[in-house]
Amino acid sequence: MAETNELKRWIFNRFTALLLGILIADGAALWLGFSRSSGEVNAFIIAGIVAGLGVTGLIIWTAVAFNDTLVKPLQRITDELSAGALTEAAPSTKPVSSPQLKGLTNAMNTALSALQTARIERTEEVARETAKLDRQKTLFTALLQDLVDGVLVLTPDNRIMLFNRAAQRLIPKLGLDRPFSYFLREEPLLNASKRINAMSERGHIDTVEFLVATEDGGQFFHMRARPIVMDGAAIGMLLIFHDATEDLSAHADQDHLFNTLFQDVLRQATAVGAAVDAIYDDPEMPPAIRKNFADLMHTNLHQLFSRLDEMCDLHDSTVVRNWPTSTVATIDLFDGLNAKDIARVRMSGKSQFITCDGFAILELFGRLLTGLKESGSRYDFNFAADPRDDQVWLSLAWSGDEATESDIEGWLRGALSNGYGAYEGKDVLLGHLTDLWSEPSGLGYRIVLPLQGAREPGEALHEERAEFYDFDLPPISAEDDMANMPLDDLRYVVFDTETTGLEPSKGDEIIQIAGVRIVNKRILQGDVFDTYVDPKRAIPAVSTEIHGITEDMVVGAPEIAEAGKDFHDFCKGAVLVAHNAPFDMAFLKKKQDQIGIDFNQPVLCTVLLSAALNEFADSHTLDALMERFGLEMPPNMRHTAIGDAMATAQVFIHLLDILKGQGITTLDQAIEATNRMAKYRKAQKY
Amino acid sequence: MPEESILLVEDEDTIAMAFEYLLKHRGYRFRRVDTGTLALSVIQEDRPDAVILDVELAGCTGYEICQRIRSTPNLQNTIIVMTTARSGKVERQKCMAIGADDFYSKPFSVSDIVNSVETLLKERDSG
Repeated sequence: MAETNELKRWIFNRFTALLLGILIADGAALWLGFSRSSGEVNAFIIAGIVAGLGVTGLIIWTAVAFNDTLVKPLQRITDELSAGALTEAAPSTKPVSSPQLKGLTNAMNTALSALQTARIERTEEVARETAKLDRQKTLFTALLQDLVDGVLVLTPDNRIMLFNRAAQRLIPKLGLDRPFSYFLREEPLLNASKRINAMSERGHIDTVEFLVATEDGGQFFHMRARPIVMDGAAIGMLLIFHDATEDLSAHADQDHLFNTLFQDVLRQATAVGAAVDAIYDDPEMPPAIRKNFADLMHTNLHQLFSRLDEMCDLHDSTVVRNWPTSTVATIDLFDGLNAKDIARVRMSGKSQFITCDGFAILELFGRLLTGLKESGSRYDFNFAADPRDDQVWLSLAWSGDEATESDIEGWLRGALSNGYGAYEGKDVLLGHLTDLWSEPSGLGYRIVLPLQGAREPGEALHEERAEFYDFDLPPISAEDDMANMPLDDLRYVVFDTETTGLEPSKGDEIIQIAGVRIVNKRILQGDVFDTYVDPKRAIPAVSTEIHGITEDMVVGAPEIAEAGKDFHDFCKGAVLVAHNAPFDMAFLKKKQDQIGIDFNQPVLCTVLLSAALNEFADSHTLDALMERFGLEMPPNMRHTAIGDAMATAQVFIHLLDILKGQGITTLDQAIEATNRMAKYRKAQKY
Repeated sequence: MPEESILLVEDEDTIAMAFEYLLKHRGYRFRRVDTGTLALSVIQEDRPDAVILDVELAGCTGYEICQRIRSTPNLQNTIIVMTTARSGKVERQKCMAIGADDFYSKPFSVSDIVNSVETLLKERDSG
């Protein structure tokens, strides 16, 4: 538009100059003619003036025509081109009313049409590629999440940039961007990296296996590591792992069994044998001595039995560990049984969860149902699952003839399925440390199979969230370098505390701490710290009214020394953020001695940040900020530590965008802005 | 002295000898068989007051014998104590579910079983 006005001005100036020039030339000609003439002056002047007026009229007419024919259409063409270039708008179909510019108009329309076509093609291409990526992402996520083994992908500096559900189940506190060493001992990994590097120097990359323990040594994982290489450079490390604690423990138990129990059994058996020999050798043995031997035999025998019982238990647990089991819903077994189409089976009662090899148990029931149905004298089959203490009794009931023990044994004889090699039904029962039997039930009979009950699996862990991976993690920097790091690249822990009151200096204490991490401007909802804290004092009713935390709720919770240390660990490498941070920090700082660690991380306060960015806003309460940014929180979450921390985290992400918009891009600048504001708001009421 | 009869179904001679000695010593009439098949006919024939029944038997398992006794109307009051080399919670549940009055897994104390039989017979007679 500015360019068109410029053109208009230029044309106006040129025509004005032309007009003035002609008028001046006309005047000069008149003056020259008049000074040299001796005749009629008036006629001469009149002719000059008429000529001048005529020329003026012609020039004005030409200028107007020029404007209408060229300038206005050019302006429209300029607008059309600008709109077409800057927006997705389609080219105008309205013809430009200037035949003289028809060629240019056509050229413009052709160019815009071509641009539009290119745009549509590009948009379609992007949509296609996006759909392809989405599909790949869905497949990738499904594949990854349903793997039984844990999967981790580490950055070159051993931070977690991807994990799957199994990994999270095995290492419950797993979080993106966390260093490997936060969860597990790092030495075996470093050693594996060295071996991998050595291998790659020799020109081949292979998988390296190693065993790694948790920090407390309570769990062991068997890991397979493989570098992820792109363009010759390692961009990460893939780790696939499973819990080896059970395996190791089973080996240890077996070793123990043979090393100690076996020795004990031999010793006790030898002692009994010695006493028997003595009595056998001397039929004339005096009764008092014989009684001594009998007492010793009795004692040794009981010790021997006790050891044998232990051996049985250990043997059983080893057998169970070797049979692969998982949590299975009995409704799935019922569906599977009906899908076999052996006989129509109804199900009564609620579905339960059991620990078993679902396929093997299903095959077992298939065999039983086939056997029951074959005689033709049994009908009206019903499947049920009844919880009994820690067991669930699966039962298959029917009307008609009884099934004897030998009937059942016959049905379970023979290989269970091709997939189980020579394993028979009885082996499945032994593998599950169980047995089955038939007994009268109602008007008929039922076969009962007790199996170990299982807890209902939690909701698919964080299924809705896409924060199992982040391939664009910002580089990590030392804590003293944080000041100049871009705000977007920093890690944050947004936290909140609930307390017994408002005055730490007068004995008020923390009763709940909750925090959530933000990495790459994403709230990692799975990486959450949330604990009650036992304040070792009463919680006033007036406080309970606000946060709903009663004294019963904090019984058994860690005290501040433990909870504070755990929270400090959780915050490692992160900037602390809280709404009205000075309040929460006052409580934490007061407890530093007790916790044994200083909370000296950089701190940002969302109240002060909001005030610094919007000085004239009426309110900077959490509710006001949430409303300003159009955020919502379930009402029951407000004034819970985790609810408020989550809400503050959402507000903070909006504040980060505004900070950037106002040129505040580093932590130092943000802290400076809040400090400036703090001076003005010393008496701020939040 | 009790006059009740007790049938031992056990294929291990040493264990059988110990039971025989203890039961006779306490005044019970004692009979022993060593196979499941034989046990079924002897039970029908003798109608013992109590049966000490090993699960692992040739011919017919202890489970089946127990089920037969429980499904025979005139043997409903027979005390059944089952013994097995298998251990575990489910084994006990199975034996009790199919009608045993008590259950012992090996290694067991013979005198414990004799005491149990004695108590169960007393309870039955007083009830």
